[in-house]
Amino acid sequence: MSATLQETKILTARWEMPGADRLEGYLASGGYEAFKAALAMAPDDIIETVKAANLRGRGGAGFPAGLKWSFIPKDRRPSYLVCNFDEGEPGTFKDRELVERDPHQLIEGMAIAAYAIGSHEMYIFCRGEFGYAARVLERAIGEAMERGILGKDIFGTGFDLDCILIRGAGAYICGEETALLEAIEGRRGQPRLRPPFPATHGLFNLPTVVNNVETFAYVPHIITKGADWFRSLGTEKAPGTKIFSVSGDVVRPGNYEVPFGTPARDLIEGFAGGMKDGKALKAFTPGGASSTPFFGPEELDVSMDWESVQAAGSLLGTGAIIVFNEDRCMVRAAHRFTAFYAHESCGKCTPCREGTYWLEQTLRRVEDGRAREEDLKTLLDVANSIPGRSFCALGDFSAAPVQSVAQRWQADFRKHIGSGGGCPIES
Amino acid sequence: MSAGRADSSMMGIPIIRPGVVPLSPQFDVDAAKVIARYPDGQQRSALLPLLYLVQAEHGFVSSQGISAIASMLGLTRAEVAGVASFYTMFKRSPQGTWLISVCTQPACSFAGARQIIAQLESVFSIVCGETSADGSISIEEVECLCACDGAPVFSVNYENYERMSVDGAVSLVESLRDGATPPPSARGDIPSDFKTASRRLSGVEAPR
Repeated sequence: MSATLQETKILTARWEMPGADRLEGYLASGGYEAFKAALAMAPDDIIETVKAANLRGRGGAGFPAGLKWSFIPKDRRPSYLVCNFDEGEPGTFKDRELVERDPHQLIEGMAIAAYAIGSHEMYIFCRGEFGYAARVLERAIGEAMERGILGKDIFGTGFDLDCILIRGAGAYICGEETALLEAIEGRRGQPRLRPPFPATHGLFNLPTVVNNVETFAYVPHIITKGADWFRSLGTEKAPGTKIFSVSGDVVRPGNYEVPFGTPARDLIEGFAGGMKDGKALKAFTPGGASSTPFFGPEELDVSMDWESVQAAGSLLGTGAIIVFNEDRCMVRAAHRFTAFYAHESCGKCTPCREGTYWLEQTLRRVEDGRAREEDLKTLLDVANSIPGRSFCALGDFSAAPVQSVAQRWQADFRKHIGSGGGCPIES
Repeated sequence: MSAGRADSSMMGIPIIRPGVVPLSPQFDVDAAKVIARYPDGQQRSALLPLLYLVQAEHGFVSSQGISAIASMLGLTRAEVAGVASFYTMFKRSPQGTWLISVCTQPACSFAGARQIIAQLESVFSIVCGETSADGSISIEEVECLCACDGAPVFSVNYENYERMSVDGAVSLVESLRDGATPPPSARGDIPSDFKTASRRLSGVEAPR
């Protein structure tokens, strides 16, 4: 670990700047210049630039954004641009802070994307619980409308663009893009069958691009500084930076923006200040609850990018690193995550709806000290029956915490057998 | 199915409760403003905002509210109730003036969320999901509020409070019960009461 560890601040550059959350502050620091430049470009050239930069979606899957945009048919049907601001992955808190501290960066990125795909209407789907962030966005949209940055004939170019903010109402599944579209259409947030994909049949059954906050926020920087600059950061397959949310048993929990490929150790022991109270590290999630299996001390030197984390057996997910110290009970951790999935399963598919329920019930019994020897087999049987048999990724991910703990931290599980009441590891 | 009565308790949505007054004329004005934001033929998109507007009037999704929305959007009552029951922020019973939502995901659990819930339940003699007898406080357990760097996190009508001790959390909620104005939240704003917060959530006051 280098002694002069420094963040590479692109998206987070304005976080320390007073007034950057207001239009005046944003304009004073070069804001909306990229949108002006983009409006002078041919829309296809913008898509090519974003493709050349290989900007990959930061929502979890890492799908190339430019490619996604290029799937929008050029058949003059109305199209929509949708921002997924339904951040809810346990351990993740970057999109909320990106919006709270620099809302215009998101609006500018979306506006450029809308122009590139020929859309005149964009929606921001904001998680319902984000009271403050929603107000910041409301104010920012109002400021942009008042200044003619949104609305009719923007900067005299003839380009019209409307932006509507809609709030969710408490359903993690709406972070899945087709469930999110259902919610905007006033329905239960249950995922749609794909194909057809949103690029051809999205919002209101019309061509739609959905990206998350962090992805859109990079767009103005790529337009201003170019694809080569972006590709000079990070790894070959994962260019650019990423905001990692580090939380749990560390000295300085927080969001840290670093190039892809930075070792987990730099984030945990460096930026986050290492383990709190001098305890040893027992486990960490490389990317939130859905990024299991969890890593242990052996994986501290894994590079944090999609390919490396996957090669090490897990998933980068949203880049949420939750750190567990040596005193933490991994059965309890698995139970917390499983309770989350059981609560958030939308109920559409039986394996996920019933499976997550039984996993939660069984883990609760184990955690309460009423475990039986056969519970381990039951847990694995149920967990192995969910992935691949459900409609969306929530089902697939729901099994992983249980599989992870049952395999790697089986000792924690065994301590619960016959403990006769209460968790034997954490009091 | 005969109109009204037969489906009025569908999906656990309560039938008319004593003390619930009819929706105000303002509701119609607000509803029209929200509905007008969506493209022709896509008025159903206003459903989530309209459910928040009902909560803003009644403190929960009332039976009258479901009927009003159904007739405005040309949906059945069952369709409206089906959507309302899917989302946890639409409440099916009257909520307290202050809804306390405590995150219990790992980072918050490590930092004392369980003890906060246990103390609140004991001090207010209610369990998670219930409202105090005087109607001042509701407590619920919620999934990750995505503010893990501030663990433990709980919110008061969706405004976060971070890094608060068990005693600090309990005394804050006690002060709300006793009629005090909430202290500034983590980002400096002061939470509104539940109905006002619901109105904000509808987006009716937003520019778009």
